[in-house]
Amino acid sequence: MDICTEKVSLRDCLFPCAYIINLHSLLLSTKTDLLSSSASDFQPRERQDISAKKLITMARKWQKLTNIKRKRITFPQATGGADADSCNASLVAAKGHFLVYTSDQRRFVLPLEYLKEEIFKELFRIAEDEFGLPRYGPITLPCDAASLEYVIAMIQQNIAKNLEKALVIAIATACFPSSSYLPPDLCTPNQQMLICSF
Amino acid sequence: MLSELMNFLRACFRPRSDPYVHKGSDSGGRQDGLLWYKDCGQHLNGEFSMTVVQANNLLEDQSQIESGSLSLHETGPYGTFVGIYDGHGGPETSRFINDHLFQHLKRFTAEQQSMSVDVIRKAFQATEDGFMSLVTKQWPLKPQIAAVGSCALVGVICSGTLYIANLGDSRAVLGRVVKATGEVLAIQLSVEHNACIESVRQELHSLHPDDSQIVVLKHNVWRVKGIIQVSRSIGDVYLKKAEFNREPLYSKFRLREPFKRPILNSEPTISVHQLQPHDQFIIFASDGLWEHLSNQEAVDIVQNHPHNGSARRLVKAALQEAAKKREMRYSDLKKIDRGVRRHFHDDITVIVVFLDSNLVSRASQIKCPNISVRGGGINLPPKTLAPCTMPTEAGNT
Repeated sequence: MDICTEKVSLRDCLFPCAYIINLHSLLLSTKTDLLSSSASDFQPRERQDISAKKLITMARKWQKLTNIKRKRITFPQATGGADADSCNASLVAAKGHFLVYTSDQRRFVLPLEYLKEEIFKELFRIAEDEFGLPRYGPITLPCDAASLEYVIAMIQQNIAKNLEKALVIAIATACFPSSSYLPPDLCTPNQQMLICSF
Repeated sequence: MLSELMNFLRACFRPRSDPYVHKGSDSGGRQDGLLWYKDCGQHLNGEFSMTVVQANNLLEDQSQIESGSLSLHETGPYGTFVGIYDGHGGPETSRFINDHLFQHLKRFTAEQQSMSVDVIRKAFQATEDGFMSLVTKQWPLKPQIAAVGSCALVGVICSGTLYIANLGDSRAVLGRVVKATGEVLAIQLSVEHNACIESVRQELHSLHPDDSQIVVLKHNVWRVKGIIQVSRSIGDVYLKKAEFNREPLYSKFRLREPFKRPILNSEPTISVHQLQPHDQFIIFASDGLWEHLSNQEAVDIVQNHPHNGSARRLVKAALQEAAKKREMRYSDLKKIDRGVRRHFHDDITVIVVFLDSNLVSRASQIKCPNISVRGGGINLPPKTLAPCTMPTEAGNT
């Protein structure tokens, strides 16, 4: 048995998500052209040196650019365990993997370990709010392939935990505005400010 | 030498192992990850087999089989009681039913000195009233308790008569041999109260003629007020009394407009069946099983295999089906942790009660040892329902 509560719109869920993605892409490409960033440019140490003010300025610039040329955003390539190729995939996921579809009907075969990641648990929760628990078919996540690829890249690159937490907060805040839902350890003022700043 | 002595002393003073995890197969069930099972046990009217698989973070399914005296008095009547309680919104209500329903039933049986539909109905009502009082008491500190509820399926075998009482969407299915062909037919014994059934939607509309939105399609599933699939339950007091549909209950559970009459009710549908010599077994299970297996598929699996482990076999078949729907391997599905596991299947509880026609026809006055087994889970905090089995020998036997 499950209980279905107030619906959360997909847009509300992904709205802050998009900002965080933009923010992270910024972090990935501080030295290079904003639109030509790639996984190879990833330099985690630099993140610590960026001031909040600079980030806000850059985020605004980035937002303008993405609004114009949204389709040109490049996400870090999903490699290794993640297989986003729907053409050659067999009906059953490979051993040690599970399978999800994205809202744009892309098929992702992912390692079981991903189910332990907080971000995946959150995506599953949002999927339940958005679509209910699937009774007859596979699981569909309420995001497109590009967003999921980003999440995968984030897990693969083992990025700083607080950024992941910030993303969780952003999603949770959008889904449960009462915020009573939020685990207390995720509610540090700095992270809240980080979200609110954008 | 010293180390041997230390080991000896340690063995002497070591506290008993965790009482919630029973590895032995004789008295209790076995725990294997999220799976709990008791492959074979004996009740008054034959054998039984029981299995629980957990998917929710806290197991919401609770279950019990009680065999022996169905009354507070040792004079009986004697029989077998089976209960499956599929909770939602949390485990509190199903645990409460597991702790109280059978006790109420014994009390009313003692009062009336026999088993009857009336006894069962009163036991359900007393359980609902008891939970309502608990919510009233806990409401100021724990308002969330108002949004917890449970289905309840009960089977009572007494004097060759089978009583089936149900509210919600668990199901009891009888396996009966057709004499002429030797086939085993699946006969559904319970009436369900899920809004996916047209008659249930009609009933809701007739009970709430002024509310066109009493039942709506949400995520392609019919739900009462767009919230819940079942129209009857124990608990869910936020949908029964308007005084609990307000702050401090989370806003997502609150209905926009106040309601005058209860949206859900707690009246079980009770049916009475005379058991026949060709009745082989009854499968009691929460909807977690039935969303993957048809009645006939389940009956065929039980019929075509040994009694021992039949409940576990049914759960395995359901999980294999769940894995197929999620396009993954069964062996991988089993590795998924509780909590996130709920996205792959529901909690599943199965009790298969085999009917030995010689024992079923016995008079209900024959005394026998009391047997009490409860379906288990893992990681339950202390002071909550013990998931272990508790075979108790009645003093007078």
